[in-house]
Amino acid sequence: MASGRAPDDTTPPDDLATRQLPLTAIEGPAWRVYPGNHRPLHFNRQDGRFNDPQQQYGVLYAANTDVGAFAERLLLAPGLIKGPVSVANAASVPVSATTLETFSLATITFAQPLTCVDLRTPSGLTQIGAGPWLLQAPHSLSKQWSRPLFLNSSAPEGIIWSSRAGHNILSLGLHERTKPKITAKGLGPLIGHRRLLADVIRQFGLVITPG
Amino acid sequence: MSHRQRSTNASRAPRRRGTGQATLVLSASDVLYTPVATLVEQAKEPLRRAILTRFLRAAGSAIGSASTSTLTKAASADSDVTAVLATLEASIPDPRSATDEEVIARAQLRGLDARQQVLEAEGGTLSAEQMARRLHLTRQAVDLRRRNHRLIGLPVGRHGYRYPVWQLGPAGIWPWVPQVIQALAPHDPWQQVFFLLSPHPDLEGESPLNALRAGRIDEVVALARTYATYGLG
Repeated sequence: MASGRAPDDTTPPDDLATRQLPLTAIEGPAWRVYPGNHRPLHFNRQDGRFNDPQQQYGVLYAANTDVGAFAERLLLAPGLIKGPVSVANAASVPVSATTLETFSLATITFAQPLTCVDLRTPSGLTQIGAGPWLLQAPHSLSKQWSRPLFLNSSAPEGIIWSSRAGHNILSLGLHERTKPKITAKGLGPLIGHRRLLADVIRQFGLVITPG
Repeated sequence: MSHRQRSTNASRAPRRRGTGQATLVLSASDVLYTPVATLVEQAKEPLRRAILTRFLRAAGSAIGSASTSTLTKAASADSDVTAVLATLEASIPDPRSATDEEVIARAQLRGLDARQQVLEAEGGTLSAEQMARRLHLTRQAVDLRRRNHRLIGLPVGRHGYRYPVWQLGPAGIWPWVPQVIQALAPHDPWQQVFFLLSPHPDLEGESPLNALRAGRIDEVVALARTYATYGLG
């Protein structure tokens, strides 16, 4: 935490827009799960961990793997479904078969490496005046950090951090300024990606309900 | 397979008779007699016969390979379907060694049980007729509210829709129901209900439904919109 700030201060430091950021070059591809009736390349201006509260620029959210993209976009927390009699106490997370038919997978490729604020490590978070809490906090809090990072003099093209879903998933939030440098290719509905589905089931205890 | 009714004092154990084409003989007092007779009757139609063949092959394999522990647990299940699913699921190899398709099949089997759990959660669900009576409306008016996104109806195949009872308050449908449906719009009704009933990390692990009941409506609607357009992360 920067000097002069209270230990429980969750707002961005005043000098964040001019502070030296922990930057790293990220190469693609990245993966995205999105409603199949939308475009695979979409910069969300409203809802997400590092969206601009003023909605003046959009952010495209993706992950470093297809499993990560699925987990970030669709997974719920376990606790609703109890394990069946043969697998007592197994954590299960439900997803409807309709979701797997209506949501699609896309791959995002970069024309060149993108310079991103690297929040994967405690030192990176400390450098911007935050801590691991920033990646676990409600979005109403984390969104406040988007704009000063976006406006930093180094003009970062996005942010990379470790997903709250765990499992070594890396989340990417690419600013709208990267649009000329990235390409998205829709790969069809999730239900057709059998290896991906099986991996999500193995890692997260996903159960697929009919309808 | 053919079946033949025997006198009630015949042996109860099914047995094969003759030395050529095997003929399965069941006593009418055998608990297997009625279900097997029903199956044989249904199997006269080719498509049903084809599916029945696969059913029986899978069931035979699952029962034959199941451990006593699995069978004991399955036999104590509340319903026939749950008992069958538990036995079938146990027959699929461990996820670590199973093929992708076997892993997906197991997840789909478990999904049938999960769906039942959700239908029974938080007071259960009502048929369209029951919901109409509770709301003093016609069945058609209930259907219209579902199609206009003012009420969640869960599609259950040829049985139509089931309406979660927790949508009802002392004065009818809770005012927040249309708001959360709208916020969760990209998702189908089942996924909407999964969201509302699952613990949420930003609600101290409480479910959105319980937070709505506690009056945290704006907060839950915002979280629903975030889940619909972004996810939980």
